Amino acid sequence: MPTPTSDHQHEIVFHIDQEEFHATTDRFTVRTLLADYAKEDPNTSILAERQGNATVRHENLDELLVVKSGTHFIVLHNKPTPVSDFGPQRLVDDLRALGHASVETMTDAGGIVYAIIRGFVVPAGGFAGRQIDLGIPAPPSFPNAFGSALHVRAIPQLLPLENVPNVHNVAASPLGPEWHYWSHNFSAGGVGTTRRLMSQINRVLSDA
Amino acid sequence: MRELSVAISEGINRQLLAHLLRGDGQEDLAFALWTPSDGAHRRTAIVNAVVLPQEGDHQVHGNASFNADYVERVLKLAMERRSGVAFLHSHLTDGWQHMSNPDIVAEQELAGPVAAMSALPLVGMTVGTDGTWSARIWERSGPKQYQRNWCRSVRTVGEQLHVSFAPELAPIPRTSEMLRRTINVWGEENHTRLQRLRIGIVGLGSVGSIVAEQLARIGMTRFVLIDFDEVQLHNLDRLMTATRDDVGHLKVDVAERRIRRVATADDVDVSAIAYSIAEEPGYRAALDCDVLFSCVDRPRARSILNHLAYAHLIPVIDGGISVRFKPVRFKPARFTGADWQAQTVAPGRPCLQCLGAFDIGDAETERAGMLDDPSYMSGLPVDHHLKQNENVFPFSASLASMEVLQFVALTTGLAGWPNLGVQRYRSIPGMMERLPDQHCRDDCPTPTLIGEGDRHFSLFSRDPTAEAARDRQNEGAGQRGDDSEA
Repeated sequence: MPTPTSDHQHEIVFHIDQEEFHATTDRFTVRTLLADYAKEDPNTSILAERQGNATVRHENLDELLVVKSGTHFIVLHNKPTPVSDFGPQRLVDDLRALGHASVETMTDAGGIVYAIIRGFVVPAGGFAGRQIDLGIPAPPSFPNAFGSALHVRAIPQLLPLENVPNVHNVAASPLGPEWHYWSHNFSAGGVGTTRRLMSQINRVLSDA
Repeated sequence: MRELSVAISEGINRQLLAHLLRGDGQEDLAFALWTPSDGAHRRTAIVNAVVLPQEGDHQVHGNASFNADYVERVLKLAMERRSGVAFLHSHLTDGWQHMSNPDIVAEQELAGPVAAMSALPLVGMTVGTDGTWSARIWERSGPKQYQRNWCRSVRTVGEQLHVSFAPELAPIPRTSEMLRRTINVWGEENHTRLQRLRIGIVGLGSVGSIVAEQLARIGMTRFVLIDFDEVQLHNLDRLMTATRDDVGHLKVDVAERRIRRVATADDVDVSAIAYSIAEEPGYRAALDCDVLFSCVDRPRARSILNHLAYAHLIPVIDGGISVRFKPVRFKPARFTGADWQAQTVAPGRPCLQCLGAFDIGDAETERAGMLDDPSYMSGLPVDHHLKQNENVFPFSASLASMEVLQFVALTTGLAGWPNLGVQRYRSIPGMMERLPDQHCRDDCPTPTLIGEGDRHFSLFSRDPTAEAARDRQNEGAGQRGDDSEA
């Protein structure tokens, strides 16, 4: 641990970011400097040493450094990838946040990714209470873009494969023979997209 | 070696010039962050955030110098944002700026730590008193050695497209007597702005083929043609560059041949890319361009072009035709009129989605392959917009001219008017109108991605329509006994 030892004979002085530290030893592991001095998590930060205008990274946490007085370190935050802002993982995260515990992703033969809610219960209408698997297309730019269909797997199926113009257009789904593609133009996009999508999906299922 | 370029949105450029072009006649400096936009043959560094010096970060003394704390702060930001670092400073003369020895030393010293920390090379930029930028990228050439590679161009993108070119890498092409009347209209200076641009035409159908012809005739020199489709019999009533002999040949090849034949420039460089813009080769070819013409009739391509206009700072000139019919009982529907519309999209202008040029749900329906699924399409009402694809040659010719004029305005600010807005021609009663100026909706996501490149997502993947076209073309080539490598 760092100790203020300002009058010790062998004291060295070094900096980490803007903080000044005094120590009676000149040997430290990178992990010690990060954890005990900088108070940073060694797993999410990198220690770098300023050498003139250059900066040298010390990425091996067990590397033993011989620190001279006047050495200046900086800590770089190598944060783990944050929760995705875009794409399939964002939709999955949003759905889980909305209380859907069993959500996974599936990819069809054409490379299109879907978020799948297993055991989704139709909330109202003629099929109220039926348990289905619900597939929602998850484009790479979701929530900026979103699909124009829901995919339904139910035994027995809720609707037959048929086109009734201005009523419904149910076609084969690329997710497999047990799945049906229900065409629907959603209006969503941007903040709150997932909540608005689910609200519209509930309405489509309730009106079916 | 790949070409290098830098792109800056007008907003970021304003911020930089306000800081760097001082009123007291001294030079100044700043750092910025950038993200890569990697085309097939060009890397563009998109400068998308400015990190201005704070108190104690730098000194101005006729020249300017920076302190290590400033560099450290910038490097931290770059790591957190997973961005590259650009070092920018001003000179006190006009035009494309070269480097003094102290400039070179300063950038050489920065190149190592910047590359080590950000995993991207240092971008160095200098601005002259007239706002002209020069730029270079410092690539590692050996242990502790970094080589300066000059960028061919620096593009500032907004209401107008301003491009500064490296004189050694992009010398002004000679013009011939063939262009005398064209240059008499818009002047030598505007012509030099136009002719060095690399122009992409996405879709070489009825509108795209006429755009190609017009651009070749007004002296453009660099073309990228992107279309996976081949000439078919039903195209011949609208395809300017094709004849009966071309049926079965790729539209890009036919257009390339025509450009070479009618070009008024001495040297033309044409790349024919037989892919969809939704496929990686087509997408990356588009990223090589300075301006893109959107001559497509499907929503997915428009949604991708919209992304390129904002995230990659490549202005897109778009047009569309809508033909109206009135249903008549027991008879073919009756033609009642047609409208066509041209618009340019780029930062500072409303996006294609907010202009109603495409619906994002339709784009995803297409991505899922449903627009080529007969059972799905048959379920749509007969007057559904996805089923409307009628057109005649004069409509396309008129729209192509409107698009090329939008391009000239964007790139030259011709007569002080770079933004022609959204122009719509109504064939009945026969009038052109400029629609009231619009902005993106408050909840539109497009402006949030300005200058972000593909940091968050890429939009290329598979395109079932293009794959089917290639199968058809290969089958046709087999039946004709063509050499499959031809």
